[in-house]
Amino acid sequence: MKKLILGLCMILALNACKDENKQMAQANTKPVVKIGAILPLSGDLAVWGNSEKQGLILAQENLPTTLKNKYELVIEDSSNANKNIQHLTQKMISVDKVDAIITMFDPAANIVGPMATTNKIIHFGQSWFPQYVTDEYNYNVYADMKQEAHLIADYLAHKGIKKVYLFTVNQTGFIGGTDILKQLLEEQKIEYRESNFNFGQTDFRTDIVKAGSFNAQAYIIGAFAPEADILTKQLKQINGEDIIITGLDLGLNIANKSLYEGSVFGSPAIPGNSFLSGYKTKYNDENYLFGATVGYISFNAIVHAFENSQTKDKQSVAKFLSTDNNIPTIYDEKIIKDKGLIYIPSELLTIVNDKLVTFEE
Amino acid sequence: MEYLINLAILFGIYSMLALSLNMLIGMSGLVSLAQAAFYGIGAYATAIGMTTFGLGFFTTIILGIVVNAILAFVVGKILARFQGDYYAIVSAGLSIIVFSILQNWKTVTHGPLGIFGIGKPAIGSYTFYSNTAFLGLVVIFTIVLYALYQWINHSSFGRVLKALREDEKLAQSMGYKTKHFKSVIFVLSASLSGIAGAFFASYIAFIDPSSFQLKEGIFLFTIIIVGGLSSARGSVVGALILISLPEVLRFIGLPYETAAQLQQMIYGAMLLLMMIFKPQGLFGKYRM
Repeated sequence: MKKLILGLCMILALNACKDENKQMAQANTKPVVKIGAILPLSGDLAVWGNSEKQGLILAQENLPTTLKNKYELVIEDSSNANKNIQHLTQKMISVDKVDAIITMFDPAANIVGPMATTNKIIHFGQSWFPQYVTDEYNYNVYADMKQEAHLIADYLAHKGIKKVYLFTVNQTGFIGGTDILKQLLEEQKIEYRESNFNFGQTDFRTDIVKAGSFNAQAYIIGAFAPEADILTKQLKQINGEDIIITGLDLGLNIANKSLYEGSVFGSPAIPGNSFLSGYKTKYNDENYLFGATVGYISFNAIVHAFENSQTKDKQSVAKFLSTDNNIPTIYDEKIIKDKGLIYIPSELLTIVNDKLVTFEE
Repeated sequence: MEYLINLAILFGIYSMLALSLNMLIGMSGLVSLAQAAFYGIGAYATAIGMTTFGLGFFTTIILGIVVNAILAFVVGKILARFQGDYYAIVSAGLSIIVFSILQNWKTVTHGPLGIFGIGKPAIGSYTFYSNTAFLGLVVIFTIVLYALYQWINHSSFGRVLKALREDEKLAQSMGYKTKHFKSVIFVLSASLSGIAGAFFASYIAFIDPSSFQLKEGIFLFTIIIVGGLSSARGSVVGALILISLPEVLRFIGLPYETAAQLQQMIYGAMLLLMMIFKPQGLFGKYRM
């Protein structure tokens, strides 16, 4: 047993040393900027972690060769467990010696945020409620949930809907986003009832019956695939194909588009053609998820900062980022940056012939 | 080095949890999956106590112990009616109920939004900001829990628990009120896991209910099965293996396109092999 414990410790220690040697060997060429990403690549949210990983790899491969630095990616799996985030961040800082860290979802961002400040390292999170963005080291890339909620509430009011039923997954962002939406529904005098569910739920029929007894005229889904897809399928099986389904943040986050034909979502906008064609070429798939666009933007924003900052020193890069408003965009319009908050534009999207398009009345 | 210190902190926290769970399962044979619930309550007591009421870390530890003890006393009375698999199922139910409360009692727990900005422990004017100092504190508490485990294990109370584990009917025929013993060890185990929860909350500075789900209870159960039931040493070694093995796998140079999935597969296969060759765990004194 002693040998086993000693062995485990030695492997960890040796690897720490090995990595330092690797760094020294690379010092002869272009300066290397290491970007770490802590993503849920296994567990409940693996589909999202992997989509962000795709975006990061695509962004790295699309970098021009003329840049003054070389950019390397270090990706670690958090298994979607908060307990892993702290030591993984520390691994990235002290073993991998990364210059910036990218995280996904609120818990990871909230744990890494204060560590980024303490260790003076740049951190890009993806959070709906970015409490951690308090200084020049922390940045958040996401769509504005308030704007999406406004779009949905206005759309429902415009359609003359008076009663809606909300299905919301128990996840930080969706719960918060739904809270905003509920306020707006009240302002629009739209009655609502609500059911919450956990990740992994596959049977929604009891809640669907409850929604039926409330005589809901429309259903608002606050969830991602696969739960959103399963729920929609069951809603249509019970209530027929013609029901009105809408969703918060759902447009870019569904897997089976044909299920939602004609539905209208408040969603992050569709990225421009440069991203879409690049994604299709690389992954031979048109069905990207939103994580891919966030990863792509975060990576390019960090590259932009390291290329344009006067020195590679993290403090000077952080200072540059805090004042710069020209984050590279993959949208036709400019990305809005309000201090550390980088907002991707939102719009109403719909699905026509299995294709996601901007909704027009 | 900082990375290893962070891992050591996590290892210490999980050692405390494993020790407290092994007191229950190992000593008395009561298979509980509710440990994650008490761990969560301890963490939330610290998080809410420190961020909302401005209490000190050590005060919140006591608060967590008290809340856990009261809840465990009430639930323990119900659980004491059950045996074997039924005990495990009812305890799993408790874990699910507590998780739902943490998730939905938003005015107190902030629900899925979690609690952000949990402080570090402090004694007088000294705050345990550095990870090394924090690790020192974790080590002290782990040693205390280890010693407590050993003390109970060798006490007359511990011997009754073992008798209860081997043959409850026989223990009853000797005049022992087994329900009372079951209830006491359940309260003790639950209270001690609250201490680990307090350290966890302070360590990662942010908690949300996702850290305290039933699957965490199953993870803790796995730790003591791998380390060995009814063994303090087994609890600590089990925690060491289950915390460090995934970390070691990060360094074996797998291609990062598939690394996460391969790591999980290797991790699972290693646990499987361990159970095939050491079914009683590494230091187990008995098999379930």
